[in-house]
Amino acid sequence: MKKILIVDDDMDLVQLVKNRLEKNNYEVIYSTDGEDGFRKAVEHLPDLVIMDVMMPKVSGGEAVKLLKSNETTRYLPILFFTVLATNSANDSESDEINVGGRLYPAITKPFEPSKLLAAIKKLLGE
Amino acid sequence: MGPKNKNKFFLTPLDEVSVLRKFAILYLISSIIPMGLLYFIYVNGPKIGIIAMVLMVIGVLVGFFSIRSLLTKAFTIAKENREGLAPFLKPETVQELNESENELTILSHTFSAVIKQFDNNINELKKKNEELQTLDHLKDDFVNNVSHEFRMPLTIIQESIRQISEGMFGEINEEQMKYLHMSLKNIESLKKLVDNMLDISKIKRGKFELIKKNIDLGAIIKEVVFSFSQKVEQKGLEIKVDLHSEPLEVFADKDKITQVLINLVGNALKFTDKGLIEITAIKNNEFIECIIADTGIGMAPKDLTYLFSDFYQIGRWDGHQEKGTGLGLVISKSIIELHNGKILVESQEGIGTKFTFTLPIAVEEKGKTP
Repeated sequence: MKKILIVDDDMDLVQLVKNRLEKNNYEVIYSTDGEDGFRKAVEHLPDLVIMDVMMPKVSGGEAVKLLKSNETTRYLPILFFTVLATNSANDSESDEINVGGRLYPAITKPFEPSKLLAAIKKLLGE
Repeated sequence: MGPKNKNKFFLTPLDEVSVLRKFAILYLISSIIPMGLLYFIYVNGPKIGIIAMVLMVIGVLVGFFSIRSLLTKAFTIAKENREGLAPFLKPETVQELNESENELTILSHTFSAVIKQFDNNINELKKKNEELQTLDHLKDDFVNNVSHEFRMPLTIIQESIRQISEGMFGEINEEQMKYLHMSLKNIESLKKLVDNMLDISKIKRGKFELIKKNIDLGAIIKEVVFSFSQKVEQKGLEIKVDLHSEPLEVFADKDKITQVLINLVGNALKFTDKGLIEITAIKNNEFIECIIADTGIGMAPKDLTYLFSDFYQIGRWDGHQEKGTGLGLVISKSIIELHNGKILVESQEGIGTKFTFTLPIAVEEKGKTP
């Protein structure tokens, strides 16, 4: 069973995404802030990290920088969760977000479950 | 009045000396003319001379009285309105104006005050205009922020209800399902409104970006028509697509043009109960012209005036229609205009509506080998 780490400061959303992913046979761990998220990533070594962009204290961008600087978490695939869509069209296949000068795949809130699952499958190479 | 008052909007009031000087000049002119007249009589004989003299006297009298009556009126108005001028004049001028009985002084001060007032009004309007522009920017910022803030709670509500309706937390009965679907449908409209408001806000801030490529408009039309096929069937309507050539390549942003077509075809469907919707696309010089015509309820001239304004909705209260956001056409117009195209509407109440938009044809791609 693949392991997914969700890092988002909105606990309601974390709960809902967790339900959705567990229903689709993923193991889910979560954290509600960037720094703790990084620690959990090092500890559990998930297969994928879903990361909110705007979080108090340590933002998604900073948390990703931490992940990239650590040898064990450097190559973890990252999927950003954002309200700031770079592509507002509803039917475009993949949204992207520029974080620290690099483009990452992104899911726009409000999200379509099918799109979220498709993006996860793609990043996990399933 | 001293020479210090050099504001270009003030006329320097005539002082007594300069008035005397002007009269002296007038006196000289009026004495030279009779002398000329005497010479004229001397040359042409007394008969013609007398006629000329009589005509001249009449002319002078008519001129004198008309000018006098005009000036008297002006003086009277100026005198009567002296008090009202005070805010527009310097204090010392006001005093002079109130004490003076010299009509020319009063008139010139009045004139200055009127011009000053004009100047004040224009400055005030400029200031008001700036204030309004600031308010407009604030409104756009507000719309932008609110739209973003809406997205989070919407996400939570939508996903919660979805998970419940999917039976994730237990079996749902038919009655419960009906209301869950009702909620989801309304969340969907709210989402659409938020998306539209974000689009509008981007357009107003000049941040609405287009990704232009050479694309086939015909294919997009077919796709959009296909997406509506279920609705068309439900209403017992027909959509006729007439593409004059294929492909009809335009240089445009595919997602955005799809958005425009969904809006226009969706509107046509919404307001048509019988008959058909005709979509025609034809190449016209450097542009592709696309026409969407329906046999629907049409619009009154009053509606046409505001059709492309923010949040304008045409009332249709039969309760069966899904409510729009009143932003679709504003966005469509902006999208077409950002492509250097044009969008026009013609409509007749009870007969139908016809939207026409143009898009530039595809550009030749450089370095592309055939």
